[in-house]
Amino acid sequence: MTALLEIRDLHATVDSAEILRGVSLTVNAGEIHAIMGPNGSGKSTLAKVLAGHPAYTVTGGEVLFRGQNLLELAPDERARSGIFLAFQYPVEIPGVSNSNFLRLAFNQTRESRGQEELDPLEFDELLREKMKLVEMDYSFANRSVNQGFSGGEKKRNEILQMALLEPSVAVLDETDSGLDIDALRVVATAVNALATPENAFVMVTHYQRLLNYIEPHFVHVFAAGRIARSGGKELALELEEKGYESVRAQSGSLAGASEASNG
Amino acid sequence: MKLLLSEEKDRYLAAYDARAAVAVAEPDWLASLRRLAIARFDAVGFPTTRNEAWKYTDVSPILKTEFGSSTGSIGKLSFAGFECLRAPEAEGACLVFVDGVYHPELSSMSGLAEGVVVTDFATAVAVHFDALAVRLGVLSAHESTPFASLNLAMATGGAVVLVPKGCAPASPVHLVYLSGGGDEPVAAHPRTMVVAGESSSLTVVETFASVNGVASLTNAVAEFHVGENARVDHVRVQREGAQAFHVGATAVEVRRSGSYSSIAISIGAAISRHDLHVRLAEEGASCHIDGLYVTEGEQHADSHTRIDHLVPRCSSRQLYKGVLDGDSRAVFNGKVYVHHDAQKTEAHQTNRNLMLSPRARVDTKPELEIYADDVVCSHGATVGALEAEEQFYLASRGLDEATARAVLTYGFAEEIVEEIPVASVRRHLDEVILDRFQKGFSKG
Ligand SMILES: Nc1ncnc2c1ncn2[C@@H]1O[C@H](COP(=O)(O)OP(=O)(O)OP(=O)(O)O)[C@@H](O)[C@H]1O
Ligand SMILES: [Mg+2]
Repeated sequence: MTALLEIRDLHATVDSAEILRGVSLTVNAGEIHAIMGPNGSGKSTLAKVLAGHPAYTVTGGEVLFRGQNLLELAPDERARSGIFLAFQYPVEIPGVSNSNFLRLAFNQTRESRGQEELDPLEFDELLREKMKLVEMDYSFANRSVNQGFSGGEKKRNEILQMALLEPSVAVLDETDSGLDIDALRVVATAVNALATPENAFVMVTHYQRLLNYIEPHFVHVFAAGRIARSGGKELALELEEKGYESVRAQSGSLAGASEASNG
Repeated sequence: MKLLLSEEKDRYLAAYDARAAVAVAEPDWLASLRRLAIARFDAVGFPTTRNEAWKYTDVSPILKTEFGSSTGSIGKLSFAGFECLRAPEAEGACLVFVDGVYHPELSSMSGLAEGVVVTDFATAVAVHFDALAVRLGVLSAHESTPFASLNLAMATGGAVVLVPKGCAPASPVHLVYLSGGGDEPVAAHPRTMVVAGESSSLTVVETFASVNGVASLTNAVAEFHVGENARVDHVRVQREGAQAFHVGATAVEVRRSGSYSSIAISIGAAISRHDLHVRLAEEGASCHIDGLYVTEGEQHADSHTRIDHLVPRCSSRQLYKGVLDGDSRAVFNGKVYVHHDAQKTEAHQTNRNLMLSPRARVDTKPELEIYADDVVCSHGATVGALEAEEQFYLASRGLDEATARAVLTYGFAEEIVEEIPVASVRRHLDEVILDRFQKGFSKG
């Protein structure tokens, strides 16, 4: 079986500084992965490189999505083919209503998948349903995308987009940060509701508490631009207890750790 | 250059004489206003780019075109195209002009509120001269341009709107000025006068559009008298055709605690110029003037605004935005003049430009002149391209590049368009603008 997403020895730079230094990670359909790791270790960079952010240059390695070279696709093509990034810092788009934006995104994605587009009325119905799932008030549909949304509201809006676009691989970059306990539950409920044997989730998080709600199959620890350790969900508990120092201490014997855990 | 312009001037002077020879006799007060106006025009002549106020706007392409005088023919008027310009909200208070000539059969005045006058210029001269004679040309004289003088000398068509004290018509008044109704290029000089009485409130929409692709010159002037405690919302939409030239001036005076809000949209015409001059003449007066210019190809759009804070405790707010594509050019010049006595003035002015093409160019000049010391004023201008992070965000949701750019550009313009208080006008502009951006980006 081909993996859904296969990252092999990925290197990437921004402004000629090397941020990713050999990331390897295999994500199979039906899996939920958690990535933890200290600030500045490169977690968001990995997420953005996967989504195709133009500021980052891939200098080595490869990424296969369903066996195809992901890196040669433009960001919008990646999105339409099923890669989704929930941003750590969602962008505000003044003047564009959330519902218009969501409908455009939804229909362009549908079109590229050979599915029928929904007219505004049909879409509105679907939107209401999905907004219920993420417990967002319908008034957010008429506001400008993310503009003036609170931190938690922006994160919910990311999950709403994910729920509408039904990606194959969703990378959630600290979607849990800054969420109150109710919002955290909402996000977790949504992810659990959307998870199927056909798709996969990669959740970047700093907090073990998220993992109480969404049980990951694998936990990876990022350090200095690569995966320093991988394990099951008990690794998250260990990190909570001992901090990242223990990982750093072991960083001599990192090679192969990620592969080993993915088997 | 000089010679050329004086030749052009002579042509317009001859047109004035020709009109005077055939026009029906006008009352003395009007005839003498016209004589003064044409004399002023004759003395000043058309501006060249050596004139500071016209530094970036070369009017010689306008002057090179030979315009006949308007007959108001509507031979080419397609009713379907025209209907979409009419705001249904203003049904019953809509005046339509073709090349400056009033067309009663296209207009409707059945829905006017008690005491409100909405009528064409000629009728107003005959019937409402008491209101008109004391005001005509008074406001437009303050910052008069040669074009405004020419308008006063030549104007035969136009609208007069009088709202009595305390009256607040629920529906807007819509003035539709169409150009290019015939087969030959013609010049029109429409004139609008709005008088909002004490504690009245009123919404006026002026729409300038073209019937077809014939070259035309619209030289429009509007005067707004906003009375004590009155409130006027003014929407001005200039979406004339690609062959059209548009020169417009709006002169406003606001009395005690009155307020004037305007949204000036400029998306059409080969060369367009709009001068907006607001005088905050009594304490507590305020204005909020917003604008949007959208240019592409070889278009040239010039927005000149001036706000005079003449007395204490007035406030003004201004946001003008521009979207420039292709080889187009835009000019923004906004002056806020705080006079010596105007303490406790609050004035804020912003101009933001979105450049979609490296070849487009904007000359922006926000100016604050402050002669009082106890004031709160700010001004600023920005010129920039689409935000890369915003583009990436939309791309990451599957929007292709052309759509993403169109959506972001639309969003930029929307901040102005969404403020338009008349829903049908707002929706229609929304469509026109989004359509234009989508076309623009899928070409590129
Ligand atoms: N555009 C950029 N220009 C310069 N440096 C960058 C840029 N993007 C990322 N970096 C640097 O790359 C490193 C990794 O950043 P990244 O955002 O991937 O970290 P992270 O693991 O997500 O951290 P956090 O947990 O704080 O979100 C940081 O040192 C950051 O400063
Ligand atoms: Mg991060």
